[in-house]
Amino acid sequence: MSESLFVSSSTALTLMWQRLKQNPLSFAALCVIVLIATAAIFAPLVAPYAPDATDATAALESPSWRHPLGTDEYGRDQLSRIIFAARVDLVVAFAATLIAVTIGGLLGAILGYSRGWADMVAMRAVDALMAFPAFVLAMGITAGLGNSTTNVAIAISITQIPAYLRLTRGEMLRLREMEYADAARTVGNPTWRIVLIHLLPNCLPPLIVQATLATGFALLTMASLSFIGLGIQPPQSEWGVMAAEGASQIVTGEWWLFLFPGLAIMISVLAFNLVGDGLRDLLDPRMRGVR
Amino acid sequence: MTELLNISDLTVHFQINQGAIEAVDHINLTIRRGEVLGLVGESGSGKSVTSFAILRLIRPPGRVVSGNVQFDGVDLGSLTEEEMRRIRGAKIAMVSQSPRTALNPVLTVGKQISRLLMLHAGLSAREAEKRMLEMLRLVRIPAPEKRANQYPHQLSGGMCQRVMIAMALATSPELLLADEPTTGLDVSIAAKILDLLRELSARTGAAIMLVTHDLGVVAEICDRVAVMHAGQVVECAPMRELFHNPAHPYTKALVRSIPRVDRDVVLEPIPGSVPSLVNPPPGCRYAGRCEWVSDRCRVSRPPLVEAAPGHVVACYGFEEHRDAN
Repeated sequence: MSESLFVSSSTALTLMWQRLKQNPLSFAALCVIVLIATAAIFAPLVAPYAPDATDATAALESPSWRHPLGTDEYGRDQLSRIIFAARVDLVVAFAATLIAVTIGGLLGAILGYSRGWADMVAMRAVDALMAFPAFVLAMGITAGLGNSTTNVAIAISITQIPAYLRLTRGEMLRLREMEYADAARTVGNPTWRIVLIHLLPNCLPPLIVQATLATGFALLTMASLSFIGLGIQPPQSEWGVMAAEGASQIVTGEWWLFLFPGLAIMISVLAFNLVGDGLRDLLDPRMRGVR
Repeated sequence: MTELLNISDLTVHFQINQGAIEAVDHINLTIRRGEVLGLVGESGSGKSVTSFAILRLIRPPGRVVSGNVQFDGVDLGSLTEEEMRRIRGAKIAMVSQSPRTALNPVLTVGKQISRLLMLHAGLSAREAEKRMLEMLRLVRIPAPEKRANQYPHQLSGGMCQRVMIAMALATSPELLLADEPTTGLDVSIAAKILDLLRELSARTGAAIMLVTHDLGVVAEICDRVAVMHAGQVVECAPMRELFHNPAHPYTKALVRSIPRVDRDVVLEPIPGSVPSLVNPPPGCRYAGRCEWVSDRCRVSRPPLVEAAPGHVVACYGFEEHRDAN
């Protein structure tokens, strides 16, 4: 089962990849994401200094050849910190998205296929959850759970589950009436097979688009949480935390401490959005017939 | 020939706001082992609903109101859902009318067939693949190894229909429900598909219920024909008998409306259309379109009576119009 799921989604992915290459902007954005991810993975090799190595002789230096993005008040190299911070930021953003896609996708598929009262109740709950400002919700959850990295990921994923749930349910409502769903029933498939093997893979393309866009948003939410002190805690390097620390120093003239972490957030979020937009363009509507 | 499937008094309603649509109304139908039964009628006459009802796949707002389907001596209505599931696709298979959309777009056609074999015949992946290729060869798909790895959108409509037939016959079912298997295919391909169905049913001994609105298709492969009008079976007879001596005015009209190149006749359309099936009138549902209509037809429903051996018809007027053609 897992093998065939993989095969069917991998062909869709191959097609997406081919199309994506034809859209230069999205392709460039994808390269940026890959670049950031690679740098994060190989951070100890890429970064010129250790992220928390202090150097009293080089405190608050403006950007130079030695410290391309400057240093903070303890003499920590900004570039190295930003590279190491990408590890936390990307892992949390991806993890939150993965949790949300899995839970939202499965629940949405089951509810959309079965309809009935459970679906009614769940969709009203989703409406309520979506009416509530996502960021405030995430704040509440991290405040309640305590602000460990895991909890931040869980909080963000909870705010995102409703979007996937609604998307998958909507697709399921359409797919369950398709003739191949009928055909799957007429050959005696059990319900779980119809939902998971026959119909859910057909929901994947829109889910992938949504997930790509949402990863950028997850990253932004996490940086914002950290910025206001509810997410990742200093001295851990994290873009939101660094921006928060740097913000207080704008008035004293150390602009680089705020600017570069901010840019890191902006570039990553923008990259995810551009890739997501590109995927959406190529999935709709031409992709339908070709898939 | 012994009876394989026996439908008695089957009624299916669809609940809508304005009332119940009586899509299938107290029909009786028998399919014998190894025969090809044609189920003919206009759109909306309840042909497809009947085949879904056989498989117990009528979903809300549809509802089986009455009736009983005996398959191979077993009352399908008494089975649990799990037992029914094991019959679907294994003993009773279905070929649907639009092969393109009835195949799952994200699975290769080969996988769709071998999955089915693993599900019902309990074959291992390797055995299922071998048997799948055999089936593709049997339905004369060229280069089956290559085609098996393709997705439905990469195959033509006729090719997809062959795949559907291969899938339906893969588990050697005793009954094949073919719901307009040639709709949307061009004539030469349609003829090949029909030949294939006939040949394969003869080879495997499977009975076929062929749902169609095309009398030409019926003439091509059916042994017996049941004619449906507005949810009721109005006539049932051996194929030749039906074409040569149609008894019901509706069947006569259908036969007259077949274009012929060998005679110079003006085609006669059947006046009127299928009556509304929401709270239909109590009498014969054809009464509003019938040239022989009498008062009796409007108040009570004519029962199926024997017009000749093996030929039944539901009409009060057929005796007096027996020779009129």
